[in-house]
Amino acid sequence: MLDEITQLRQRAEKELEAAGSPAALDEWQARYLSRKGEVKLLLKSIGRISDPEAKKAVGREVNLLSRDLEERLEARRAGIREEERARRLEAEKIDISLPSARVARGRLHPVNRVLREICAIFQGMGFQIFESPHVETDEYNFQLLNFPKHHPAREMQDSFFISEDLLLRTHTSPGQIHAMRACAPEPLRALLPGTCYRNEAITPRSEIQFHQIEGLAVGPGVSLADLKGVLTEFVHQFFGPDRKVLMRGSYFPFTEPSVEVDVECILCGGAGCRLCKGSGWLEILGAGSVHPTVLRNGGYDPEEFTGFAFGLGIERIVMLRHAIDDIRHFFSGDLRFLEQFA
Amino acid sequence: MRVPLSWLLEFTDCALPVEEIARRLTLAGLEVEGIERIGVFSRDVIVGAILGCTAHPRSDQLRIVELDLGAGRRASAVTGAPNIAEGATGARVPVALPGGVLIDPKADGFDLYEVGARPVLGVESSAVLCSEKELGLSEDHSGVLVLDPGAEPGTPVIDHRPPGPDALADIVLEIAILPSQGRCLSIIGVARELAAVARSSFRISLDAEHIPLKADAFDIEIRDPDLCPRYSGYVLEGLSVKPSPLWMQRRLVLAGHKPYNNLVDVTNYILAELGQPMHAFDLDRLPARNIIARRARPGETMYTLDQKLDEGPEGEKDPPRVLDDSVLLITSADEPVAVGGVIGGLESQIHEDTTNILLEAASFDPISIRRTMSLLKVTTESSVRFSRGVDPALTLVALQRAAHLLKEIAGARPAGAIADRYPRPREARRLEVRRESICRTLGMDLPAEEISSALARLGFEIDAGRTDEETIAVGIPGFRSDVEIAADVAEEVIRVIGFDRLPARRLAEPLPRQRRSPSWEIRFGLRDRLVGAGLQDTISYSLTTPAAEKPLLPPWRGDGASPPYVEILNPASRERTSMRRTLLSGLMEAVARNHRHR
Repeated sequence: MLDEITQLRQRAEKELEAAGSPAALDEWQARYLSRKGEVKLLLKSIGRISDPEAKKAVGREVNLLSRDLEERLEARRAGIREEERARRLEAEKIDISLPSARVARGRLHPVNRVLREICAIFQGMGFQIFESPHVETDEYNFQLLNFPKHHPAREMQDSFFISEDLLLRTHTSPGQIHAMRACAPEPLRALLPGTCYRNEAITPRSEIQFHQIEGLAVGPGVSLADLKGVLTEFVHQFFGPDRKVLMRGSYFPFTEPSVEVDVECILCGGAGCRLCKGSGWLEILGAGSVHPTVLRNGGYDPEEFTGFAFGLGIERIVMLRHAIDDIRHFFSGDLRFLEQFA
Repeated sequence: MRVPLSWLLEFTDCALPVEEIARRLTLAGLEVEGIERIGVFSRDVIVGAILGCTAHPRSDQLRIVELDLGAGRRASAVTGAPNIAEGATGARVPVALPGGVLIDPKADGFDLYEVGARPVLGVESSAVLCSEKELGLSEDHSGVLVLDPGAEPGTPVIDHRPPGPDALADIVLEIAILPSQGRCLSIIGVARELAAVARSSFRISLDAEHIPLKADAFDIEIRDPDLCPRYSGYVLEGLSVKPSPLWMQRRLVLAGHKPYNNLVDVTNYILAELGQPMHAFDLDRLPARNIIARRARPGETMYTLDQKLDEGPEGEKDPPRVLDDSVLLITSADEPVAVGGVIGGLESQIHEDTTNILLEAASFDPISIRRTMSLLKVTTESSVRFSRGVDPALTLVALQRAAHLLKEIAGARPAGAIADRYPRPREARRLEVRRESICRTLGMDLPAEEISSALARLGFEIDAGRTDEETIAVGIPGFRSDVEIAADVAEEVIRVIGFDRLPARRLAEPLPRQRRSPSWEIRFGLRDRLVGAGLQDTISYSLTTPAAEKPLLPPWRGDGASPPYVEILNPASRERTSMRRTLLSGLMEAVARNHRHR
């Protein structure tokens, strides 16, 4: 009997050495150490021994064998794991001096980028952002802003109407009335960014949807000179500290006096080119002193308060800055366009 | 609006160069969009030296001329001028390059033409050798003008042959007139503005007939004075219709009007010069010798002079215009003969055989005119002016001026009197403005004296008796219906003084209470995070269609078959009819568009 044990031990140990993979080890374990394995079989055959002393001795040997083989199995498993690991480390060696994989890069839409830039400049001068709805009443969009009846801008073909009294705002100016009514009679400096809508043919020069930003300051002594100073500051911060600024007369129903503010052409520096149509100046802002009727409609007494207002078109500014020739790119969602803005 | 410089300078003796005139007008709010230089004034008219002259292969009368234009430039022109032949080599001649505008030597009357490169009987001609007539120096078109042999090629011809006071050439200013600037829709109006900002003199001295007023000179009745506040009429008999003289055609063409015949041209001339629209009726084609200005009856119809009564190629006539009771008609024997202030009637217009006319100069309510223009979809030089407001005082001046011009050019013998109906004469308006208010609006300290003199330059009357250091009493001229309140006066003051004199202040006001805008900040914060995660920010149209959104929204469980949408009554396209309920529709469109390119 003891001979059988010794033979079994030798055989098992030899096959264990030869087992090279976890699968092979599982197979060896099944063959030798499982319930139907050879060690168990040997254990069963101890029952045939009659001599109790011999039975105890053999039993002890078989248990020893079983324990030994278990230990060797574990060692062998660990060994194989180590070999596996070493092999993988060798195979998957990384050159850490190589550059990393490209990281996906998103960008802000140029309109949102410029909106934020412009807002920051005016916020730096104490202006606060007010937003108002895209859908407005005719009253807020036109009447309260001193647009006379049958003003050309009020014709059906220029506005998107929802009903006789409701339309999509054609400019951010109704926000002036909302802001004033929310603050009167306290002084106010408001910034009114927003999307506007005009019923126009979509061409490289014009769109049905665009972004504007307006500014409004109302106080006991806010003057046209203040407007000139504030807008000059804006131009210097946005276009450069050496850019000349020109203020000239104009007309808007909601301001009086009304002005246009031009900046020295960013392409030719005032010499005259295709961008500025030879004039040397780029038109960027419409502005003026708030009309007394509009102040009154906002809840301010024009005897006590004066104000100024200005507005600019964001797409136009972006087009000037980046020499974009087609306004339709802004709403196209085309990555070939959007990804050009760092 | 086109303003010929020579006409403008008849009313103000401004000696500034034209670029400076343009700059000052633009600063004052009359934006000069372009300066057109015609004839010898053109920058495209330069001295050329003839290098060689050969016969044209296909015509004995024509020659091909090679030119040296200085600075190494060459050009080749085909000319039929009798004084250019083989011996002309070395001569200096005026050369007009493509883009130059010359006086048309072949026109009956006055016309302009633009030089362009074109083949002449198969030979390319890229320039024009000019006669004095084409340059607008004189009427001489006998041959090409020969310049001094020392004239350097490439230099402007005007340096060698400056135009005299009777030159036909001119420089024309193209001015963009804003809705508030009705007073500037005339040469005299622009002259007044220029005189004010350039500190030059301003004078209106027009040759006009002195014609008395007599209520029964013609049977005129105004039934709706709200729409037609004033109607003045004058009869002239024994006229002959023929082309206008050259000097009038020239001014009309330079000012952008088309010459027709002396009668029609006089009304257009006065419209351009004074800003008072006029209409001339063929007196014998009026249904009766009376005029009633009244509202149209609903459904009343008429033919206007821009329509045709002949049948078109398919056999249809223009249908007559259908009017409603918002339209002010000029009628005779109750029949419509003109849409007041907008356009004349077809039958009573001036014909070749017209000899007797009724001249109309009237005043119409601006809002009514705008409404009518929109209803009939008609825009005329007259209607544009009335829609912006014309001083009713001009009607008599216009008629007297017209009578004089027609005497000069149509054989009129002014007799009789003007019939004028002006039931509620406009009162002279006065305004008292506090100096402090002007200074507060502008943000600069101006003495009353300076304010007064600025306003006086623009034609405002200063009432010295009621004006002191703190108050300025102004009489508002009839042509300034746009000035009503102190803010309007402040605008006039700063325009004359100059925006460059306005200081640049930076809001010395106390800072208002600061508020945050959480919605704005959150949205931009979200954008930053998403951009940081590698997503591309995009902006799409707010307008879409319910059908485009249906697959992108969860099934609708509320009232009605589909969720409510904000619908546009007048959408620009069928794909953009409703305000979006989700951002996905725009994003899906963008994805699809990009997919095509990736």
